[in-house]
Amino acid sequence: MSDIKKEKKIVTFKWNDQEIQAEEGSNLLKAALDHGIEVAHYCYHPGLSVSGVCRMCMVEQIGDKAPPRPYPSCNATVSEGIHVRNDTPKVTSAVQSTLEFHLVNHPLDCTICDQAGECKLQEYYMEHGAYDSSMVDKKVHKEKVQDIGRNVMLDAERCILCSRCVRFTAEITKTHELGILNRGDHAEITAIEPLKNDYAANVVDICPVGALTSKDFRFNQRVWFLEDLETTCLGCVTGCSVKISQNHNGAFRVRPREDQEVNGYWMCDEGREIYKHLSSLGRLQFPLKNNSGLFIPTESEQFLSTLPRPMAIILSTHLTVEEYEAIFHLIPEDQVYFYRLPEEGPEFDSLLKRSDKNANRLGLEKSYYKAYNNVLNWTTKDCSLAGAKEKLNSVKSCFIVVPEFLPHFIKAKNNFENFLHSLPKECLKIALAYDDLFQGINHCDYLLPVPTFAEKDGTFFNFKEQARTLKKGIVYSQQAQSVPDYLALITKTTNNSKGFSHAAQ
Amino acid sequence: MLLNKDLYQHHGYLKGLYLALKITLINLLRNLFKKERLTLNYPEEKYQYSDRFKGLHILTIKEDGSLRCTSCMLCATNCPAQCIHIVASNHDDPSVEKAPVSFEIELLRCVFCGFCAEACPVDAIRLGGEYELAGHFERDWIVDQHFLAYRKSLNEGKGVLSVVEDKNRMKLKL
Repeated sequence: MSDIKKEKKIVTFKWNDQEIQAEEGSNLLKAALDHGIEVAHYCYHPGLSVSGVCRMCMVEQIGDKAPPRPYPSCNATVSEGIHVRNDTPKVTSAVQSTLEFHLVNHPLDCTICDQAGECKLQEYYMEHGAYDSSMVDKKVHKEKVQDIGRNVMLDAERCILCSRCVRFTAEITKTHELGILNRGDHAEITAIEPLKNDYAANVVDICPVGALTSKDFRFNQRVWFLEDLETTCLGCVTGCSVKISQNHNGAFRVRPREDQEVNGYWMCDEGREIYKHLSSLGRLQFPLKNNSGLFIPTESEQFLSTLPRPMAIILSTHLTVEEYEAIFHLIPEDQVYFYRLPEEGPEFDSLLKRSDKNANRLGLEKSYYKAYNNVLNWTTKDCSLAGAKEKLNSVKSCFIVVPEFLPHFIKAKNNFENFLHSLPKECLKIALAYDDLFQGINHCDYLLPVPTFAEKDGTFFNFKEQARTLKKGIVYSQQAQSVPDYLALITKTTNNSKGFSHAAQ
Repeated sequence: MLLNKDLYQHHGYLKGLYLALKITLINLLRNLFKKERLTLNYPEEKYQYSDRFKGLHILTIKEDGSLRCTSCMLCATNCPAQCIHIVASNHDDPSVEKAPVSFEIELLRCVFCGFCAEACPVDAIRLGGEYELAGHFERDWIVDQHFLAYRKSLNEGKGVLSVVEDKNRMKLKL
């Protein structure tokens, strides 16, 4: 038994002049990269298998038993006491010639390439190349603007054939849509059939050059104008680590962040849509009042102090734990209700995506128990069910927190409209929404702007009960206040600690 | 306060007045009696600046009459006044691929430094010789691509041809 559970031995080896400790038998290049050494590489990706085709990460071993020529470090393993260098004349000239080869047929259309600014060809040319081309022959031209399905555009000319995307479709999604056809100069990435998997946009992220670009992000913004906000996806209960690229003109794309505990290096295509409402034209900039179908600006404090009682609040499942705790502290248990989004798709698609779209359901249940000392009973509290809806019949004014990401869920969209429609006519409906584009808006009497998930700090719990953090980025709605802030405003204006429930009595 | 006490004590104020107005007086006399003058009767007579004068921007065009600009945003990146706003979009022709749908310059913000023309890789933006920039409303000075490329003063609205053509650009041995 002890043989099977044999622990990995940590050994020491030398990269240039730096001593590195790593597991024996682990990848040599990864060990160096993990210790902050910058090594040029195109084809190696820690989430994929090793192919060793780009020949950029060459090292030369020093010592008596060393092989006589440089070898690629991505295809070598760590062993005790070896000494490798990648700054010897042999290696540097090999890397420079390899880079020159990569650029032989590259069209150099950086001016119109979306990758410019984060392109490995540009970076390594400045670092290792900086030569004048010695080619006299014409470049081989390939097909430029190819729509290969899903959200991906292919430019075969810019490709350096690192085969990362081919390995991704073969190993991660196992759908095998991409392949390299032909030989030599004429070899090119080809979509054997249009991309059809739900993780297709990951090939855009792993492409080290501008061969694969995103249709959604195409030509929208140059990357050097963008800043990354490191946050978490709220699209489903998985809670992948993501970064949102944004600037003061808006948010432009979502990409995955490395997180071995949750999502590895990938994220689903559905999650890449979550940035769209952050800076949409429909974002609420100030409180609005429904004047028989026409929404006009109003003052929130004015009507919040004169609301008819009794009141109730219907919370979404996308708020942070901190917000739930503050809300439950202000409101008695019998006035809190929830709107749970219906499940969509298969329960788990064996990679990342889950059918439960209520991202913070666990955090909600936790803070509910903490506040009221009572387990949350969904059958009586979930307003998407008939039982809970009847309890709202006697309510005179009702706060409704509109679920975030509503437009992305086809089922939920119609359900939510029906739910708003089914609320009693005489009840004053105040929607706490981030934009005015949700369906059923005409049933609401007031709209109050609230921040989106990328405009507040907070925590939520994913399906594994791991705490995930949300970070505050650029705010696109200046007057937006969080849900507990609005509720505290009622308490303040009615001058009563439990103003939400008993002020009118 | 007297700047030069000695001068005043020895010569009185007349010498000081003469010294102060010496250059003005010389120019006055020269203008009165000589034919070539240093000043112009401005609106009627106009000064011819050199071709390198940095005035109102010109967006150049291709042979087919469309904008040369590929909307690479290098001018907007390089602009110290941040007065260039470009919206890019897909072009139907795959050899062009990217073209601007809107190219705006806020002329009141522009400092006419010419960094945009220096940054441009395809000779799409130049600073022309027009310098008479005055107007009434602020909104008139946010100019778009129709004004920048096809205004009356540029070959009767036909525009100025760029030195870089797409065909030649692809032929370049880089």
